[in-house]
Amino acid sequence: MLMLQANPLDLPGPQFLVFYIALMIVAAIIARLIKRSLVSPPWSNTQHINVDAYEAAYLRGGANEAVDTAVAVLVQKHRLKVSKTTRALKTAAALPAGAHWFEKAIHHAVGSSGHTINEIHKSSLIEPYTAQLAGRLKQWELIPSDNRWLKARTVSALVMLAVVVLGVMKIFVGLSWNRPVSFLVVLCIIAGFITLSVFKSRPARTHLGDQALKQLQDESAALQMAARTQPNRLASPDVALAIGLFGMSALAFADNNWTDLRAALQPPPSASSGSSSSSCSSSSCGSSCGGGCGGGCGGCGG
Amino acid sequence: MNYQTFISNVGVGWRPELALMIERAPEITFIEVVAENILPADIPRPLLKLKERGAIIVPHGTGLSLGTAEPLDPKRLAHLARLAEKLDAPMVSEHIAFVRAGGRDSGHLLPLPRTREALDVLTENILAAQAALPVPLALENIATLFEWPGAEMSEVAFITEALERTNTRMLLDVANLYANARNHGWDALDYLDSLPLERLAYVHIAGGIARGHLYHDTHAHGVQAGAIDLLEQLCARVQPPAVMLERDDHFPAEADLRAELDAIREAIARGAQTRSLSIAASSAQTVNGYV
Repeated sequence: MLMLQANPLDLPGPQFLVFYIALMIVAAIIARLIKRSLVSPPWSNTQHINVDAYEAAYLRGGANEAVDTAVAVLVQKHRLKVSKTTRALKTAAALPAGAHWFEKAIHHAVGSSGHTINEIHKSSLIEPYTAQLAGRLKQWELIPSDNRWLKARTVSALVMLAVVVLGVMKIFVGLSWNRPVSFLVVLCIIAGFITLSVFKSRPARTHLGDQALKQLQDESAALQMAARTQPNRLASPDVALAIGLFGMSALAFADNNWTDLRAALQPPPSASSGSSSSSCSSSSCGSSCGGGCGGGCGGCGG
Repeated sequence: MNYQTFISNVGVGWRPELALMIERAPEITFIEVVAENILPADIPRPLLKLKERGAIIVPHGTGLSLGTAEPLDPKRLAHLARLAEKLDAPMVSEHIAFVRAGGRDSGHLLPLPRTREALDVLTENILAAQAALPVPLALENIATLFEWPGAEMSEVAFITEALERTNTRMLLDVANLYANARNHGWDALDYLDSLPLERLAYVHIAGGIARGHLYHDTHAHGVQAGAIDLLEQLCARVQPPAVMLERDDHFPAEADLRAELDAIREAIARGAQTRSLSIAASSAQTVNGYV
């Protein structure tokens, strides 16, 4: 209590270090909470939000997930093929006239000469189309709009910056008293990195986006079951939605094409996808309800 | 909820493989779940959605082993009871069979010896189960590939007495009856005529396949024409509250499954027509008798 009432700059070195570490932690938590709060709109109903498979994929894991979803759907439709040896993708057949605009964009970007998934992710041909997906999600405020993001990152970074400034001030006080300041310098550098991280890291979704994604996944639990148990029976739009909402691992295709595709979409660890993705954020994801009557009683006979 | 509120409803056994098809078929309002595969504390979301849309869901047990000469497992009973409550089920169903004895599980529903002694055991267990369950219990006849020697009565007499002594309802599996008629040379129509059809809770039908000289009720193949005919014959005698198609494996395309459901509805309709003609004919005869 005495410590809180006193001017922290007057605290002896060791006590200030303890105080400063605690302050850094608390400020980092507060900054994160402020950022989450400011990027999100006031709570509202998600009932009328209607996203397609690629918007769902973007909502779940960003631009790269949307691209991967379209690639997977096009491979499943035999419009793209994947090389087992090079993991390169290339076009296998033309798209029908009524194909989804995003599939057309991906199909065009892949082209006939073969590209890896990383190359496709970075392709300048893709960027306008993923931006279009993002635009729709921003309109619904499911992902942070640019204005909200600017305000959120600025305010939250200022919270951490204040901690850095306090540390720097104490460094000068310590130097004036001929006290050792090296530990404090290190802490200030750490606080600086945290400030930078707070400023740069953009939440993938708003609170509304989290709510919408969970709701979509809950509503599609039966689709998830079908994808896990009977993927070959799914129509293409259902395949797309299943991948968009739950990721490729949700589909239990067993053919070589699918295995090769999964390998192609998971490049070696040195390649970065750059997006925070969660392939399964719903509590119903992966929940098991068993098979049929075979649980201990064979074919039933009943 | 009174089980009689679902009249001549055609339903499907719920399996994860069929969850999407059932969800997208609003006309399916009667489903059954294998009780041992569902946790009351974690009911799958698709089932909850079906419940929200007003579907009737009946837990169908396979592990109670009502025919075993041992006390029933209280945990299994409690599971069945909790599931019935969570699903607002109008009843639960189980089998006239045993699946374990002396600490060993058979892994399959086995027939009971049709003796007075076995009937006493079965009756005692049914009464114990009824006392523990919050909803009525319906009992199903099983398909059997063999019969125990030394039978003191026919299956229909055995089942009828069990139902009457315990005042329970029957889940009549016409596919199982069809299988037993083929495998043991029973007269299926005599069987139907001898059953207390007023105790019918609902009906099962399923597919199977002949291998060698035996017919196997696999639940993994299309419904046989003979089973459909038997369903029609049943419906010519009584209007069943509901008929449930069971499919546990080698799931067909949605169109084929819907075709089977249509075939079931048509059999019910044909049977109902026969029944009304028969009622009309006997009414006319009665009138003529008084003239």
